[in-house]
Amino acid sequence: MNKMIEVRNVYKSFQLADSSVEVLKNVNLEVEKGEFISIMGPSGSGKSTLLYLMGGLDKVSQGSILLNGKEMQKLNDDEESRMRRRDIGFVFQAYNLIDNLTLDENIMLPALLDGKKKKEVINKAEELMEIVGILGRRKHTPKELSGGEQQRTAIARALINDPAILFADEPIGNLDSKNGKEILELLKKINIEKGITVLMVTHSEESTRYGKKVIRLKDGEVVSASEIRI
Amino acid sequence: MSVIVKSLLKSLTEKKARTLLVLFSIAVSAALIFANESFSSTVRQKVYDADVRWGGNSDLYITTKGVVGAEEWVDTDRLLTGYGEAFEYAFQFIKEKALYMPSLEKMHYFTMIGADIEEFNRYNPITLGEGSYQDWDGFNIIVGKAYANEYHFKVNDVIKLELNNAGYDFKIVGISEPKGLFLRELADGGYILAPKETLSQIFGGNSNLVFLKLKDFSQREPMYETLTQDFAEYQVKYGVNDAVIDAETQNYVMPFRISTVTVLFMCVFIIYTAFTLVTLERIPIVGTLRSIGCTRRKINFILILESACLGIVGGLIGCVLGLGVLQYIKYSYITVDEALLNTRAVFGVREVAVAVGAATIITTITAILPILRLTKTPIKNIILNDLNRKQSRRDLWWVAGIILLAACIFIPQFLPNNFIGMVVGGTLATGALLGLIPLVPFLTHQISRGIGKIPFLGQEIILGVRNTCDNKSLMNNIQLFSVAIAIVAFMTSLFNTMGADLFKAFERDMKFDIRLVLRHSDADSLAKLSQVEGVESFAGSFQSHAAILNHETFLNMLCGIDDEDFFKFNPVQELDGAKEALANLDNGKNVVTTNVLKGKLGLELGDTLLIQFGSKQIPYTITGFVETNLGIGHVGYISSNNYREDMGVSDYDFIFVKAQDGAENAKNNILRALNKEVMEIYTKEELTRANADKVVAIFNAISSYGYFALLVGVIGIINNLAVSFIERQRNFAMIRCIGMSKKSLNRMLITESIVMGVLGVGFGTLCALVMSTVIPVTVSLLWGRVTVQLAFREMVVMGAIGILAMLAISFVPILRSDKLSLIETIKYE
Repeated sequence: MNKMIEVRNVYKSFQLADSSVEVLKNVNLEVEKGEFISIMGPSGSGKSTLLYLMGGLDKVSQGSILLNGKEMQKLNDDEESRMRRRDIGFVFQAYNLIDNLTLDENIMLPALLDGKKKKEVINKAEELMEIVGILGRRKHTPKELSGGEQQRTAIARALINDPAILFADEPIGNLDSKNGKEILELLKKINIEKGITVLMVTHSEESTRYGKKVIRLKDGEVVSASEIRI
Repeated sequence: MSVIVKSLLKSLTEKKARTLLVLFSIAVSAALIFANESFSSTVRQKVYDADVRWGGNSDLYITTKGVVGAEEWVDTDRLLTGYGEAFEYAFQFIKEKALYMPSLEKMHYFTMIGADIEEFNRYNPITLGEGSYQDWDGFNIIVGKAYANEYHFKVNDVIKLELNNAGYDFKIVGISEPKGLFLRELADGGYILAPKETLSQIFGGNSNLVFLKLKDFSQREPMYETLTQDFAEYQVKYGVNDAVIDAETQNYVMPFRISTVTVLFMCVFIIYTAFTLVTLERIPIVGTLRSIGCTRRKINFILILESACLGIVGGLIGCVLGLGVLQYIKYSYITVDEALLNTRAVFGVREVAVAVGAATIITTITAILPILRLTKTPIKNIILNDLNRKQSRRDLWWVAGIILLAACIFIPQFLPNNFIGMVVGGTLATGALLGLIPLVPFLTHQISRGIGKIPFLGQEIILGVRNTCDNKSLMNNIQLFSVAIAIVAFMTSLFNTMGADLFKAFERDMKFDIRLVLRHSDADSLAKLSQVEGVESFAGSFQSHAAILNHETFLNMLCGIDDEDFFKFNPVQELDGAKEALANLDNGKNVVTTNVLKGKLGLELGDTLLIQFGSKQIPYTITGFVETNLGIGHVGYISSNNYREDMGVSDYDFIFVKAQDGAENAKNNILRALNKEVMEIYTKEELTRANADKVVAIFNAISSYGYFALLVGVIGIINNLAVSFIERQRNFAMIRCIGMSKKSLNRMLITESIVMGVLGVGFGTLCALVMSTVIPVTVSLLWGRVTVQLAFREMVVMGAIGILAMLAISFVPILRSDKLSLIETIKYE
């Protein structure tokens, strides 16, 4: 299988006042194309940090991360931004939509930033809105939507440029169980039907059952990586 | 409560930039109020000093009438015998003319006062800058600094002066500072002090000028009446009317007061927006306090008290800043007259109290609305962070804005040229400025919608344009910028109009080539003048400054004219309407005055003006009105016969000459022919030049107020940009996460700044044009009829600078976004 992401001997530390805090220690892992991996661990274990490093939102202190064969540290801002537009999609716990844009504008935004014209992407956006189930709310702004609807919108936005990988940081953290379940079903559906690799940080054991693999972290180290048998 | 106060104080010190902005806005307001109050007091003192420079500390003075056939000397024996007991002093001086003529071209008549130096010092103290008056006898004299500089006099110099048709050598023993009698030497024509005995011998008399100080000041009026009756062959005069001093003071300070109001508007706006932001930050603490049982009333009290304290602190800082403003006004406004330059600024507890009090009131009132809005918010909404006012799609405040601007466009043409018209005009202009504020968001939305439809624009440009509409701080910046530009552009147009009119006035109102003062304008001198080569024609006029006692104002120029020919040299408008009145000035005590006074005082034909002629008060009937801005419209025309009779004079004050082959030529010929008879001679060009310097100086001072407004506005904008960045940094991080590069983000921020700059300049300029419709009606009362001179050139320059400035200011958020940590902002904010 193709290796989407390779994490090699990665260390990550943060400066806090006079001391340095090591958040990740000698992390090594590989993500294959089409996998749905959940990253779990207690608070402070470094799971979100690992996700953001893999997604290019932060830089490693030591080691390297390769995404589709490209070494992340060597990319300049333009290359990184292009990668974020085209190769990956992000879904956050707090949705992070733009308040003064409508749903369809929020969804199309990465494509428009990539230089595409509105008429080129509108059909794709409608298709995605259909898939995630928010087509009827397309002209509303985020403030007028429920949490579940906002998160669906965030997912649709993450998929507009047909990325190879979807990163999700606690996507159901702010949702009730019913909405949460629906979101996880959606992610699973996207993974199976579209073959998009999904990496999801979660607190919930139940959530891991939607994926195929679980990587557990503790104190910045990978303690286990196991397949999910349903 | 002390815990709450402590928490609030802590938050103030933590948000230093915000607190400093609020304090600075308050301080600027207080500085301008302080400077205005102090300037007003300083001017009043200056006007008072100027008006009593002749009278000193005396209560009354008696002088000879100076007309043919009048007594040459005052009968001091009779005066002292009859009334000596009532006087604290009765100083007997001699006043004559002394000619200084170093060359034909440099001929100057000084007023020479012969006095006992101790007595003189007691009535009007001398301040010598150089020399001494220890040996006050013989031909020793004291001159003033202004003319000492003019003619390069030094102590111990001997100068030749002609008195009573004979020349004498006088030695300068002292040079006086421009104080007391020498305060306005240049305007008064120059004084020389000499020993009384010396002048007495030269002129053969004891005294023709007696200064009296009464033992009982309350007897001043009765004594004045008595002496006027008993010494009818002389002129009895006393000091200045307080109401006239007030009126003269108003003329100086009114332009500054108008400017202050406009700048205060800006400051109030900034204080309001700053407090809106301050209260936004207070939301969490207010929510917590309310949820644990603190009443609304208590919270309101604490927050209002906090704003009052900020007002007091800002007010005190403003008083210190105000000293700088005051100095600037003094040095810009007061021109070459060193006497005025030396005027000490008058300020004290009153000015400080007014400034601090006004600043506190402005701050407290301005802060009330945001505070009440905050405390009225339901606790649930605060805790759930559901604070955004649901923007009704039918927000119709912009309609009010259109109505206010339309009113300012259409109503002024129907306003009368009087006090009510001026007030309504000012209100309409302020209304237009207020109307601009809600109109800006509406217009910005429409324009951005249009821009969004342009096909070739990049997404970051479209986002930048959209953000200016949707982000409150950015919209606030456009409003702030528009208001600042509108104020500055309007004030520049106002001053251009007034300045242009002043410059034009000389062209329009002076149709003569030379203005001349003769020692004696008798038939002999006038006959000689008519023979001078280059003199085409001339007309004499009497002219003085006179109080209108029944209206507590004054005439800058009371002109006694022979006939209508006077107006060939000093034209006025609407002469035809007053032709008959002017022809019949001599049929009784008739006066023709101006439309400016008509509007100001509500005068009608047939009304009476009680005019002060020296010691007499004579009622004159208004028989006509003319249009002129000369003397800011405070002009009255009476017949020369009435003037001679009532003022007790015989010689023309001015003779206006039209030249045939050039003014300079005619001037030199007149000097050659009339020689020592010429006391003063100026060409029109010389008079215009002297006036132009003064005009420029006045407007330099006043226009600086407009730039204060701009400075305050810029600081407010910078603060808003910083705040909007803080509010939106999460959005910036998120949009970077989905693939916007740094360059694109910077382009978006630059777009926002350019949009703010262009729209701010555009809206502000349009508003200024609308506000300019009130200029004629607001200015006419003080200035006479004017033609509006819009400051187009200045608006273009200001617009370009404004847009560049906004662009430069955009580097504030750009630099901050460069340092933005995406993870920390998204995850940990």
